[in-house]
Amino acid sequence: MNNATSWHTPQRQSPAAILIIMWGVTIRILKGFWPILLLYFFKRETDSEQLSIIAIIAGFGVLTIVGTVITYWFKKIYISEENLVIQSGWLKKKMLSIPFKNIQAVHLEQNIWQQACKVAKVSFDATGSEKVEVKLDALSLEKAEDLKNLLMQPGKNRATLEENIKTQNAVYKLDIGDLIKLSLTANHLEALFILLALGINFLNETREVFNFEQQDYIHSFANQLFTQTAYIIAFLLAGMIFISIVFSFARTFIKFFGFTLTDNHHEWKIAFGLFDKQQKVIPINKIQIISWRANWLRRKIDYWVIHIQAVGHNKQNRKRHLKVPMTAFRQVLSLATSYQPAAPIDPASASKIHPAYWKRKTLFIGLPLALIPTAVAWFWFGNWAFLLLLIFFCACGHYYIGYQNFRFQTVEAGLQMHSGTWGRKFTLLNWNKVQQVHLNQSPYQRRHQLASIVFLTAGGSVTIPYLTLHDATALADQVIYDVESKDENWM
Amino acid sequence: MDFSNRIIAPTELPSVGDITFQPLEKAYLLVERLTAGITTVVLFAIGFLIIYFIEEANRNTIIISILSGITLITLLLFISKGVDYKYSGYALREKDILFRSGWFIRKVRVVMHNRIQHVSVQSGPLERRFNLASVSIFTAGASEADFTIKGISEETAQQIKAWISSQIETAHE
Repeated sequence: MNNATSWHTPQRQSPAAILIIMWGVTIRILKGFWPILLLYFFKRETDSEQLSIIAIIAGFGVLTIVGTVITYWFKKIYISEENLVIQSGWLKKKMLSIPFKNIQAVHLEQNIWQQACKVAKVSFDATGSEKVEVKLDALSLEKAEDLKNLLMQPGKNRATLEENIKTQNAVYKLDIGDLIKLSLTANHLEALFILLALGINFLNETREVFNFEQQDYIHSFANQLFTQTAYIIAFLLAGMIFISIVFSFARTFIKFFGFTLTDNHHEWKIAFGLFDKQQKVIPINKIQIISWRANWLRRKIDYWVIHIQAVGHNKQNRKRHLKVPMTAFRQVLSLATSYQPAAPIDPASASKIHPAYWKRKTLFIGLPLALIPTAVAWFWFGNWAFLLLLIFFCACGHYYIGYQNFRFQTVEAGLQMHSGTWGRKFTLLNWNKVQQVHLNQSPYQRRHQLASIVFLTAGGSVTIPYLTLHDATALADQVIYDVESKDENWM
Repeated sequence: MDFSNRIIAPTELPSVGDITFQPLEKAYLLVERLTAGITTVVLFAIGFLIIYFIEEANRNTIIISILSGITLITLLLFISKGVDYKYSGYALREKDILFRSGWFIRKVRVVMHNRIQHVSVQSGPLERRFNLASVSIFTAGASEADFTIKGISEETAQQIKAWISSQIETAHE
């Protein structure tokens, strides 16, 4: 193979890497020091102070350029005996060698600069507890594609080339209409909180620069607000909500623009993004857990987002979960069968957890959530504060519906779960992905012979809370037996 | 060809509920309580520093709050370590390892040999003083998937490590 041979010689990234790395470093510096830069531009300093600021900025600039060139020059990549080797460092030399079999996924990403330079960022997910995450900032597009194909070549665990050709590829695309619906039903509340957090951070950072006491401003603004009519308050609220919706709409639209997923029953190839284009290849045998969910609104229009947890995508690393938008439930099911070939869960006939679940949740979360604000509000509003006790009844309803909707069933291949209060979430876990089983008991659960069972995989965990101890133990025994008795290729 | 495919009834499966766990070394409780004692001393030192810098007027109330807070934490630590020690234990089976622990939320963890990537033995200065060690078991991927058997003698730890390593080799063959 010509291309493979060329990878045996150590080679640097594209020279565009220097620009890309420098751009990244500059953005990081700007993010960290923008208030100081604002200070420089908006405050009149003495000549000597201005000179020292210019000297500091120039110093940072020179250090960035030197550091970037050194990083570029000493970073080399090659392939040696089924290992991907990455050399880096000047004074402190580092050589990272990743066996091909440990590479779980290869991702290509292109922001606008990378698109302009015709290069791509290549990153790899690899197994091991060392949390190996390797990236190359700028490989020429051709080389990046070549490397991706080389590393994701059918190995002993994958289909042969002929099999791949024979397999009918399924392609899922989002057209503009789908994308608009997806963007309109995004989590606007999350966007509102992001904007609020950004706004507060901006006010804090600029306070020093402009001698601007935002607290005074907010107090005077609040005083004015109380004296104004309800129309102004409603107008401001509507304005905030409108901006949040526009922001989250644009965020989702830009992120999922041109979304395409190709399923050849061995791996999923995903491409998306308007400005930052991304290509991801996930071999199906590397997927640990699959779930798909829809909020209340998306459920009504049959829109679902699949969350893929591959190796290393644990709770602390939620950002790395791959999200795949789907425009119909049947599409989700057809995709999910590549991971777990079984009929989907029927919530009506599936098993329920113990009712103590919703009662304990209400007692330990709902009750404090109602009592604490009521007690605080009583000092200001007197008996009107007792209206806040309604939170308790809302919590009761919330947890009861959540409990009623929590259903699970075991099939030969694994576990299927259905949950959600207003939205819905379906989770699939194959038994052969389980690495550990935990049985947990709180003092209450011990007194009532209950237990929660946790299945841990290399990509996160799945919990079934509040089972009877007998059922939890029986399920644990069954799963342990299943994993230990089968000599399956699980990763 | 020697092949069998016997039906296994769920009642025939080896159960995690019927296991006799090996207790941890007695010295482990001492080490845990000594560690708690050191934590208390550090907390007291911080408490006294805070008291030194506060104004006369508020001193008594703050001294009482800090000292009672630290005493409560110390008492809780001592009791919880004792309860945890009594419950904790490990069991080695042909195809998996079990470890149970926890003074409030009690956990029984099971890790299967054919899912273990590697195993290591380590000991801190205090553990070494009492000839104790811990065995850490690593599985693939997530850091949350690792677990450690603490409070066993150095000799037992080495034996367990060697045994698990041989079982891993057999399982991965």
